[in-house]
Amino acid sequence: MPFVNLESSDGDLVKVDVDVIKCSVTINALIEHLGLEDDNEVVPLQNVGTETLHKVLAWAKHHKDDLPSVDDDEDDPPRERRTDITTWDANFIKMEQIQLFDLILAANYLDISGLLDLGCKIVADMIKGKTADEIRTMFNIVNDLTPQEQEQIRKENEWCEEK
Amino acid sequence: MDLTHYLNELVKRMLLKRVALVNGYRLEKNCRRKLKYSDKIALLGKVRPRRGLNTPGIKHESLNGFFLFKEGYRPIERQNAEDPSMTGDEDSVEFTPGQNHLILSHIFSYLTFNTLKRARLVCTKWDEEAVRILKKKSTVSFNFRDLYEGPIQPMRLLRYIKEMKNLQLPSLTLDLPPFTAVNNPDPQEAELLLKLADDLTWFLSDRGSHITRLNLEGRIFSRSDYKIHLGILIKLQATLCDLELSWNFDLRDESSQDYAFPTEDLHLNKLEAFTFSVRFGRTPPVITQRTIISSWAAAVQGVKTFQVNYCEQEFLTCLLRYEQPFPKLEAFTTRSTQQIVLDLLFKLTNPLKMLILNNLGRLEPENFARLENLLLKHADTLEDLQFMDDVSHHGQVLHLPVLPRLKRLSVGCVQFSDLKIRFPSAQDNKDVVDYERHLPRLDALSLYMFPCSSYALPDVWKVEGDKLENFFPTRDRNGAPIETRCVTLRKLDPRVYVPGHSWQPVEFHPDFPLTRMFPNVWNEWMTKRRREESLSRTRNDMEANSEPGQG
Repeated sequence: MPFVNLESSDGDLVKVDVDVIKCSVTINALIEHLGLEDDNEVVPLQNVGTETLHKVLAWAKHHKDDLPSVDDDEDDPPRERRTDITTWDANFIKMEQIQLFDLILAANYLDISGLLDLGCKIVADMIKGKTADEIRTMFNIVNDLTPQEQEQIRKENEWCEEK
Repeated sequence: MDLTHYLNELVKRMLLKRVALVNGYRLEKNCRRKLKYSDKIALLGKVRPRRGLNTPGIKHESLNGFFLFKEGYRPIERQNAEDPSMTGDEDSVEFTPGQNHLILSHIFSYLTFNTLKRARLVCTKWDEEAVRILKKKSTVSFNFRDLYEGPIQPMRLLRYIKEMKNLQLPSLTLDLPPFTAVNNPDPQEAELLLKLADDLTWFLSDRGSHITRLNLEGRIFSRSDYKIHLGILIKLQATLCDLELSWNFDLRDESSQDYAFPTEDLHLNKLEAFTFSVRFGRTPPVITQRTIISSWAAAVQGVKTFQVNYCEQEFLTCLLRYEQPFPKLEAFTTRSTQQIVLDLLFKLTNPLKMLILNNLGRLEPENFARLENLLLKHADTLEDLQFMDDVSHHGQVLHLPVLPRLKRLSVGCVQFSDLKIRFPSAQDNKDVVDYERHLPRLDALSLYMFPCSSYALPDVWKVEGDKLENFFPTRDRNGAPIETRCVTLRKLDPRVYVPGHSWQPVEFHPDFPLTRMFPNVWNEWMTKRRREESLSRTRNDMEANSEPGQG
């Protein structure tokens, strides 16, 4: 069974079954275009720490046999965008906020759409029902909007009706 | 030229191509750069000599390197005028939801409309991203139907221009009053109407170039009313991609030729989607109605999506006069499926991707064979199929073909419908669906039932489930149990309309193997069903384990 060696940003090497990590478009393309017949070849992942890499691999292993996801347009109406999460995923994604963000970043970097979807759905759930103040506090975001700009946004929002 | 600048130029030429060939330049392993606008490029692994170029006697410097390129967010207005200078920040990229536009866009795609509005107030970056999505999902409506109640509505145009100077919404709904003076003898009202016409002209001159979708509504009493509506369309014709006409003609003059479509002035060259929701309240002379409808049939021949909500017979009759009506049509929707609908659909030359046929009750029994042939004709391209049956057909059967590309199927049965849906039979499945064979790409299945109000919700499926049970087969033609599985399905929505309670999910018997049939459906009620099944299994296991001890 072919393997690939991934090097985390912490410098740790992790040997991974190619079949497991095929969900990563980035690594798949790397294997396909450069060929990694040499088992000692190392793929450095500068954006992915060891802990996060293990989480990514745990997710990838569980979803190894999944069907390819159907393309969802990001700008589809909400009723069309799926927000359902399997029980396994719901348990898997229970983690600290900082870990969740690292995982989303890793999913984005490695181009793993299923994992990116999962992380983004969870963050979207965290945002729902909160005021702008509560969101800023939760994510430690500095409000760089002036009171005039906020008033302008409120006025604009009043005009926008859902199609 | 430093490396960062060099790579940026390279990436411009090779956007989205993940493999770069770099000649004559020896790159360092693991080089990584952050480019302007948050674009990032990384060289993964080693740079290798290019394979297949080791020709004896030819010296070369060709190298292969694998790059990962991520395009960062860039405002549209900056895309066309990029400055080649670089940002010098080489720090590692961090992420929070507020610092990465690509991921932020993904997160926002799961937010509801009102949550997106609130997200705009978090910070500048969130506002930029949320407003980009909101623009696509928003429309602005101006309802001038109640103009006579006061001048507040017309003032809204002025206020809109003032308050929305930085946000151009591309979708507009205009509901206009009749402008005809003869129907408004009050001088004050006539003055208001005149002002409204002027304001509209001014408004469309200012904002018209941004509008790509228009729903134009209103009552039309005379040719001058009609000309005002046409004038609005002429102002927007250069940008309109999606148009719905929701006119209610109540014609009070009889000059038919004046309603002819001024094709010399109106060219809807960009129009892709057209919805015809025009009604004739007071029956006009036949020739007038025909002139109006045939002119519109001519004007929208280039559309890809067409929906007809009223005057089907008249509009489709006009379309049938064309040798090749709607040569680019991909999606067709009708509220009422009649024989003439089938006549038109058979005449279409372009393969359909979407077909929505409501009220099959107006089809004569002999037309069902034609409907089956029609579905067969478009079977290889259909991705979205919806139909709703509304009357008893005395046991009529509708045979669906194998639909290899179908992603969404929606079937509705109104109270008295007894239409039986059948699939091509195989050795063991007796006309019931075999998802892998008949619908191999099905992603979403919606089933709608409108039962008699006297049934309690849990009894609906028991009593009327036979209408749709072919989608949940559990037995073969000999009555032996079979296992049905549809691994592609991710959205299952069987609903029943209960008067007084609106739409409710169909209540299947707890033992019905729904979760095994559709293992990749994880909506709220399926997740609840799985949890209950799991609890039930645990309970049974505990009881089974406790029995030996008791013995």
